[in-house]
Amino acid sequence: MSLFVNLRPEGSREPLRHDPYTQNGPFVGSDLATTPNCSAYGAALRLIHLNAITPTGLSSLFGIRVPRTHDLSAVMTFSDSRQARLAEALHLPDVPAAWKLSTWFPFAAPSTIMKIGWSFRYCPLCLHGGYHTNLHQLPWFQRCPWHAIELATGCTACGGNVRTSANWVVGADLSCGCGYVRIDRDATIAGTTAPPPGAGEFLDEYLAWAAGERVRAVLVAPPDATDPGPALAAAVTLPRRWRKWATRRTALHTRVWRNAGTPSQDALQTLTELESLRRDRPGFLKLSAEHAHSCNRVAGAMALSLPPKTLVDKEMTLFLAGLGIEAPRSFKPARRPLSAEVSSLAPWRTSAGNFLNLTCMHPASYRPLVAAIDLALNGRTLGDYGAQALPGELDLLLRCCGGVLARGYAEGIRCVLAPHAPELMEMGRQGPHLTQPWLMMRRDGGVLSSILSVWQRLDVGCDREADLIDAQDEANRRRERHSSGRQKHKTS
Amino acid sequence: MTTIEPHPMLRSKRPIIITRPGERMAGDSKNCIEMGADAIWVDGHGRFGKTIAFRILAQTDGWRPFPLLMVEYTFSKPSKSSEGYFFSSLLLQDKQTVSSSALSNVQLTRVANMWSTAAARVGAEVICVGINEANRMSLEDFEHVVSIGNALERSTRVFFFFINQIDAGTNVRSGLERRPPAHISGRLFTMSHHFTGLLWDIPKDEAEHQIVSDVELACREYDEILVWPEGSGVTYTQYFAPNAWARGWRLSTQLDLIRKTIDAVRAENGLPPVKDWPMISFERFVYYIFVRIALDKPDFTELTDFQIRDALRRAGYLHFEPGFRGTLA
Repeated sequence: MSLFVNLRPEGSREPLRHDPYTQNGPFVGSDLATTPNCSAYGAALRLIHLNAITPTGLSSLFGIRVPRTHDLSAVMTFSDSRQARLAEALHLPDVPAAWKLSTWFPFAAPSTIMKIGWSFRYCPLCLHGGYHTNLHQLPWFQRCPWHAIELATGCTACGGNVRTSANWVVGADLSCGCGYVRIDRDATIAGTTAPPPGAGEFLDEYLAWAAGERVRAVLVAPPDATDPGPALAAAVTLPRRWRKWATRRTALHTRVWRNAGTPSQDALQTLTELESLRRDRPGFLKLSAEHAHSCNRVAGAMALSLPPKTLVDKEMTLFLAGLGIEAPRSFKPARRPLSAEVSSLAPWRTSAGNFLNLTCMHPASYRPLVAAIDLALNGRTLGDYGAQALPGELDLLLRCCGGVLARGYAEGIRCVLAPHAPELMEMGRQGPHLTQPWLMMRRDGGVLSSILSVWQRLDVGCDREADLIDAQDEANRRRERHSSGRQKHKTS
Repeated sequence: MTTIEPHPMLRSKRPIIITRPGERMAGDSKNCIEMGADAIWVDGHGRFGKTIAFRILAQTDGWRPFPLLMVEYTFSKPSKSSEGYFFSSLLLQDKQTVSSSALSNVQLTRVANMWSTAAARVGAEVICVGINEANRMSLEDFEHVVSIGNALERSTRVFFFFINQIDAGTNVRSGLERRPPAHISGRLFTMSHHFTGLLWDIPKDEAEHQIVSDVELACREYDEILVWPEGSGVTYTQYFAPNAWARGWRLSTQLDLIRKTIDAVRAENGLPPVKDWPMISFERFVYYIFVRIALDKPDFTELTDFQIRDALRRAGYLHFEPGFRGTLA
């Protein structure tokens, strides 16, 4: 006898459908609505894992062609075309905004600023359930905000590298030498229904905050920047309620200029002179009175702090001339002929004004100023900008330029002098080193209100700073020759 | 209440009603799942409503012993049965993107993950997989079914509904020409349910619970349950035959005449007295009465013998009757 079952509920009932089944996406785990704000690589990882996709499947199923040696996490983060292919394969109307790394920046900047030095960074608990979000890649976060555990880049079991190349064995993707499996099938299946508890709310709140900040702040990255992680971690200040998950401050030098005071009479002229920084090889920069003063102080301080017998009399005189002082009685001159290279390091004082020799500086120390000026001008001519900008804005911009130039100059002369005075190598912080400034320009109410500069060291190898500056100058020279040659070819 | 949508009986896909044969299938399925079986064979003649009954189970909760995920596939007969074909067929029916070069074990993993993911989404403990046209499956195909069961055994449980059309071939069950080996028959061939049409008489063992016949219950769906427009309280019978309705006419009030006429038609065609009514011809019969007889004739008050015969002929009644050997339409 069959069990008696009554399927007719009392009262009204919903009409029965001919197709009562839930529609699946084109792949297992492809419903991104249940895992909002995951990264493109996170989405790909989950698809690879749940659909048992082999490396060849990237091409045949997603239409993504990647050399097997390439880092798939970097490819999926920075390649717009690969993201578009994946979105198309998932039948998404558009590439999700959360796949773009720049969506997560609390400042306006392209995603590619994080391309150098990229490494896959993850929360071990989130990844266990097949979830990865670009928030975990942000260098200003050190802990996963909803799990409160430290974010990892290496294997949490053995410390080795996690393989994220586009060459994996099915079921062993993201493995390392020790064989530790980072993604669990059952947890991933459970994770396809919803993001980790607390993640959705936090990410929505964070993205709203970042979008608000992005309207106000713009990041100016130095050319040929190295790993931006430490600089960005120092440049971004999270709201107080999130600071417990923020990256601890490193020993990077930072400085903030704020909108206050009024510019000097020749401010616009100074801005015009700074236009020469745009040249392929700027050579000499004409300094305003303020900028000349700060550079003279740098030159004087440097000359006075040098070990005995580093400079000859004449060179010392040149270095101190800007300050209007003479060499101290204790000064012990070097016993060598006057060096043209060393004497050209001091600011030049001529009847036409003061000049700074930029060939002794690394371009990374002054090129960002060009971008900063462009951002301040916002498409206006110098004349229009001078007429329309508030006095405080112009003053802020020029003080920032002066400060960045002075620091670049101080580092430059230390590096160039180092081969002439080996004692400099032993002087710790005063020793030769090069940094690149990352500028965070902030507007409030449409007015440039502050500029933060974070100087991050350039990793150039042991005692090779002077060589690097020479090489950069040579590169500028080649660029200048090439562009002038192109010009001639054009006109002919 | 007004609506611009056509009446559900006038649409390309007409409404589905809950029937007693479907409830009997639900009862047996519940027994099997509770007991821990891996499959049930649902045997029945073609067009009797087995597939629709499975879809009704997918949309109703009253019979479920555990939280269930219900999925449905149709087995198409390949020229050569292979594991890759079997699994990719399941994936493709679920609109999955499949690579033609994927290995069969990869596809098996994907099918298992697909069902597990869908089950997790609805919080299901058992995955119920309905396979239509199971009569086409060969011994090799059942090996693949066993593989899926094995793949899912660790994390969840899978239960198969093999929907078997017994008049599709010469074999009583499936396309098997010999008894399957024990590891298959022990899992998949131990439980069955015979699916009938709407019974004209109440089975003796159900008399305790069931007061009226399956046919009358089905008619009452149109007379009392299905309403249009939604929320209006106007039943389908009332909508199509308002005058007759006002005089107390219902579909279910003329069942004696309908049965008598059917028996007469059957006798004229050498068929024994009627026991059950295939859903396909019953539903078409109701459609013809509503739309072509009652709706077209505003003075319609009740069915005549001639009208019933006409509706049976239009519904193709005889052609769905097992044993009918008449000429094809």
